[in-house]
Amino acid sequence: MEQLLVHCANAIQSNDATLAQQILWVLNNIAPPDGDSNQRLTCAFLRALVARAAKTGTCKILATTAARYCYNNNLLPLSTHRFSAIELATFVDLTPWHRFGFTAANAAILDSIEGYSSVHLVDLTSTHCMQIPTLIDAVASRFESPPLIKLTVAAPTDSSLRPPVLDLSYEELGSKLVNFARSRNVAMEFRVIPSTHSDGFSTLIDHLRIHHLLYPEATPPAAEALVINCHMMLHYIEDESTATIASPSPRDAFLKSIRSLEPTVVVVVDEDVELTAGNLVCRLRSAFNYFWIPFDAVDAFLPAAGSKQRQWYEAEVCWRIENVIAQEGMQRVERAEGKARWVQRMRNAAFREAAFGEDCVAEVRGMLGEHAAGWGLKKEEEDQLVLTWKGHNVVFATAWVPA
Amino acid sequence: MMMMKSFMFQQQQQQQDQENMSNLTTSASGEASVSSSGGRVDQNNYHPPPEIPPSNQPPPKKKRNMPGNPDPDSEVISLSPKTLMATNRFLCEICNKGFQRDQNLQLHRRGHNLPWKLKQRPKNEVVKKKVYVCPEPSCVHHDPSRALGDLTGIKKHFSRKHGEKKWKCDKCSKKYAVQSDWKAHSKTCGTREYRCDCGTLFSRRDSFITHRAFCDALAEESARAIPTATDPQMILPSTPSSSSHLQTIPQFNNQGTNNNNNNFLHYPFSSSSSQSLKKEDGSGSNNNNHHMMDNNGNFGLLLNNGNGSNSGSRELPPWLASCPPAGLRGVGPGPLHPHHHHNLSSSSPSSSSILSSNPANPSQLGPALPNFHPASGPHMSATALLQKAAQMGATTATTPGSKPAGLMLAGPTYPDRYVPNNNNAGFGFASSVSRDDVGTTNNNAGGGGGGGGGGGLFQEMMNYSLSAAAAGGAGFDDDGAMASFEDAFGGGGGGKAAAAAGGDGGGGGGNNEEGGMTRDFLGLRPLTHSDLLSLAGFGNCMNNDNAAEQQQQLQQQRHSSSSSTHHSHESQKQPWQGN
Repeated sequence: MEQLLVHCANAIQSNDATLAQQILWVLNNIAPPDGDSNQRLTCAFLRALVARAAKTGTCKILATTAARYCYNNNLLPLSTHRFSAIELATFVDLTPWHRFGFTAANAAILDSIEGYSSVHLVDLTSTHCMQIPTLIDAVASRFESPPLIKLTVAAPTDSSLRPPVLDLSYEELGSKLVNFARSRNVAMEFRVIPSTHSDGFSTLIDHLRIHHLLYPEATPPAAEALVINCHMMLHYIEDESTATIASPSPRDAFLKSIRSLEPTVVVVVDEDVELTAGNLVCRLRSAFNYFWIPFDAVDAFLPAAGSKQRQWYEAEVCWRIENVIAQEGMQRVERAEGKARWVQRMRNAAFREAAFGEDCVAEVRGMLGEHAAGWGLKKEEEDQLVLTWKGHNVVFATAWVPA
Repeated sequence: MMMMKSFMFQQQQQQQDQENMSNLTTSASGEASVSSSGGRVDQNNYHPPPEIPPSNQPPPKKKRNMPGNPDPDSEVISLSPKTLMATNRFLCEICNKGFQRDQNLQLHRRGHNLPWKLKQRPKNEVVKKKVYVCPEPSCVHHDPSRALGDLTGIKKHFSRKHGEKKWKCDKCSKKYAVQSDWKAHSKTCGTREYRCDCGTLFSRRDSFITHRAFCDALAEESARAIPTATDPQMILPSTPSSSSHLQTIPQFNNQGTNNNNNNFLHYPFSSSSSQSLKKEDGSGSNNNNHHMMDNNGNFGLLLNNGNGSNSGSRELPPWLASCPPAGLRGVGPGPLHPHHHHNLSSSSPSSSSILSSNPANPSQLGPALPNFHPASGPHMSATALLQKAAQMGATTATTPGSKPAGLMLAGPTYPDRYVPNNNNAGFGFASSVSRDDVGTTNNNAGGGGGGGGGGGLFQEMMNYSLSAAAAGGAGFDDDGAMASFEDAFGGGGGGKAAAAAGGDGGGGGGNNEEGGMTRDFLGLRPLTHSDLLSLAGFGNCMNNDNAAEQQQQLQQQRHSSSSSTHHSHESQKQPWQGN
């Protein structure tokens, strides 16, 4: 199936509408959206290719095919479900995809804030602060007099939000968190800064800088720890593939700015896959060899084909696939890089790795043990934890301190 | 543990013969098959009866020995591992067929049509209690004095200790040698460990915690928490370990629709307050408060009562809550409001909202009324105003034309004089329309619901807004009307507030009806309660006699006001866009 997809992609690239259409027709027949995991995976790619074809010049004829295809297969436009906080909480825990990163990050953060009376936590996650409750809980139980936690979140200002999309505003979310922290006797403040990846979170960086300028006594390492928690968010910042002359490497620039703030710890959790290639076929191959994982994993824990959660889950994956395949330029936001490249970038930005403690590893393993049997944990290069599904790398977690 | 229970239970049956024992064995364990070391053996065609809980005991209670301490005169049986694990130990003498249990054998024997004599077991069969030793030499139960009384028991023991674990739980990765153990575990594995107040069960702690943090049940709980006194403190991050989450960090208590507050960051609440913006220390806020108090007479009183009533209520009109005077800080829900100082304007020019973990805050943070956030005076949001006005309207409706002194509204208790902070904003508007006398009369008239004072101003605001609306064209345009509002109110959040107040003004105006007198501004009759409520989108409201009349009259104004309301709502949803 991968081959077929590749051929189809090639056809679209070369504006060969007839061929593309033929292949799409074939794929359509062998990959029903409710088939096994491989079929559903192919179907998602098919959908993405159709969407792409519909945009391409001479393949406009495919637009009608696309419409018909969707209609025939009862495919609703990927309507993004708006999650309530509770729904998101359960959704995020369906697989260890996110929980792995959360657990590892929390452990690293806890280790690094030991002794500080105030912690400025900057949360850059795609999961809307779902990591925070467990962090609060851990802080409350670990420290007898827990530090003040100042949580700053970057609120997306785009309209094209990547799923999961929240149904409530960040303020409401924050107030719930603050409430919860209070119930655990942890002092907490919540702050939302509208900032987005499209400018490399520059608004956020500026805010942080100004904050430091105004409160020099709070500048780390003096009294306040600065923790930057990046979870699946950094890969949205543009990389060299969309670079302009003005900013050759927004990612590196972002990392440098972060470094200049002298953070106490920076946690980088992201997906171990290369989706930045300019060439569609390359991207398609990489994506195909990565996104089979969520489809496969979902079978292990959500057998019910009609369940809402499964739909949401798969819709999210489909959204991402479509973004990778069908979108270009600024719209294509899913630009994950592999672990190796991120590690390299961090090193270039004058960070060095901080190891995860043994307790952390044990905790992560325990957490994974509670999930389905295919998830595993790998420790690479001593300081990097990698979540694996059936042996394949899925998500990596690393912690960095200024070098 | 089941293991022990089955042992002990089985030991009880020492005096009984083997047949009974096997019965009990079966019932106690409910196990259908035993895995032998040689490989899985299929179950017999015997289907065990439904498991009888071990507490069910046959009528004559048997004496139980301690497990592993058998009755001294029982017969010790030592079986080799193979025999022990063999599944067919009971042999039919006729056809030599093997059975796992004696019962099965008996059942089978009946099928042979034996002469009745042979059907029964020999009567004089000496029933000696048998105990078994574990064949494994290193095991403690290998010694006859530590033999176990039950065959099945010894089998299980042997498997568990010395056998291969062939059964694995698929949820966790625990492995078991004995199938019954495995089954028992799977039943409880992760099924029930954490329970949230809302009733949901979680098998994992992290998912439980995450859920709990966002669960509404938590919000309810804290809403009931009694707010404690707070000290005005500086919000500087360097504030050393604060004892507390009780810091009064004057901030916007933003939630949902209150985002418009952010937009008013630039608009100094009052001249003194702008200076106090930088450091939101108590003194700063006090300044604000005093400032307000000056203009506001009973504001303090207001706040008190308002505060007092706030704990349970969610309908706190925004201006009630804002900067409480220092003295009131300690008052109950005081902490609720104080944070309505302007945000650290230092931090960013654009909006950022800070929430503090103030005890009373959460009580307001229910999902139901997003607006009720205590906001500083001019920063009240449209919906809040509307709601307040609705309540004021309710006052009117219930006692039309009468002095609504001490009238309690469905919602919060309003203090005697309820004056929105806008009053104090001391802007051109207030001064020009500074009808203190109006205010006063209104106050007296308004009395209880506190609608009075507000009412007067409302009217004014309504007038202003209406005229502005007229000027700016129907449907308040953010640019047009807002700008004029801003000017008028010194920009203090007036925009939306005023727009809403325009609507509210009607209600307020309604309040002022005393003896049926309605103030007539610009030839417009104020909106009545029902008008207002329908404007605000509220459902049923009590109708005034004048309702219909006024409705017609105010059709036009309603349109403009409602569109302004819509605008306010919309803009509230997008806090980040400057309004």
